[in-house]
Amino acid sequence: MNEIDVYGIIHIFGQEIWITQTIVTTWVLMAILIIIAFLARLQLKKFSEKPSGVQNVIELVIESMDNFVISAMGEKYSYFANWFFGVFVFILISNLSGLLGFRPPTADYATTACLALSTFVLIHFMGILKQKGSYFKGYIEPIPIMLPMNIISEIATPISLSFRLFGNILGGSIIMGMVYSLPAIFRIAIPGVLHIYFDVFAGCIQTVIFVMLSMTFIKDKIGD
Amino acid sequence: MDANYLKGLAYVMNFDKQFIIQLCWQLFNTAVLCFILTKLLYKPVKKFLADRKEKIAKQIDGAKAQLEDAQKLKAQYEMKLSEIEKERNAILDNARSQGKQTEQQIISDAKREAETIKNRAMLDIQREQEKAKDEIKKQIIEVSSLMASRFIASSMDEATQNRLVDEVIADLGEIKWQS
Repeated sequence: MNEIDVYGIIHIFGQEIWITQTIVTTWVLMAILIIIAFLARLQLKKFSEKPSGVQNVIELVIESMDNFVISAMGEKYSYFANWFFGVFVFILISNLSGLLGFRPPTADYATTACLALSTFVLIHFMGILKQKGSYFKGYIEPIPIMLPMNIISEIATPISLSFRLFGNILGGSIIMGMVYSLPAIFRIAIPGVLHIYFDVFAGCIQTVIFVMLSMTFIKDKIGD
Repeated sequence: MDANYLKGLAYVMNFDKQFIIQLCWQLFNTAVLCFILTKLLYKPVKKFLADRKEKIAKQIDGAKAQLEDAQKLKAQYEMKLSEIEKERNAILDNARSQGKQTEQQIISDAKREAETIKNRAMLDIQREQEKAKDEIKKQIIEVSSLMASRFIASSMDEATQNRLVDEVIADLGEIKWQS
């Protein structure tokens, strides 16, 4: 019922690569986002000093994202907004895609794992870059015997990040699938309310949580 | 590709080699999406916003500077005006005191002149009086000598004598009025 279908198999260097439902949905969502971005970009040429209409919306979105990143990471690291803007928009539209009848790409662990992995890499890359020696020292603090614990907690970070998002969205889509398999009488109005909760509410909340936590973890490792 | 075979591959979650491939796929997709969104939308809009912010800040700064200049200029003009006022007052005061001084001088000059004229007139009068007195004296002497000569010249009775005296007196009066 909630399985990820495999639409095709291609071979690259003799390696079997599945073209899954997730991949295809991702492409569709990417295409939608890129088209929207392109249209917004066309609007940018018509931008005036006195914002109005669509310009207000575009400015609001970009400025909110910028302020979001700056409030979590500080002005100095606002360049992370370039990455997190994309991630935020992608997770958000993935979570909301359930409304359009897609199987949300974020309900595939490969997607959330890839996002959490990128956060994990950023955390430790920035940690080593900014803290240098004291980054490694952090693993034996407060006492050296804590080393295994510290390593486990570092590994737990991306796992908890990815499973939180994955579980929430998958759980939502499973429940929605169950509701849709109920007799017709139960499919009046009830799915609408549940969609609002599982797709819109949980989807938006999980997006914010994922991006916010990612930024907080990276900021923690940067130190200052 | 056999549809049934593909159907058999459907999964919810698995941790095999295919998972790693899917993960890389998604990583690639996300990276591409982030790159395109950043290049296409995020950076240009942010640049636009930053430019506008800077422009507005510049305009505000410019307006502030202009206002400051205007205020400075105003203060300068006000100072100049007050200076002019002060100068005017000084000039007026000066003129007034000078006028008063001149007036005083004129008055005192006039007084002095009047005094001089008056003195001179008095002196004239005195001199005239002296002259008149001298004249009268001369006349009296003349008349006396005349009278004496007459007394001597004629033998006189009392009546004649009285008549002569009356005549002399009458003459004297005439002489006095003449001088």
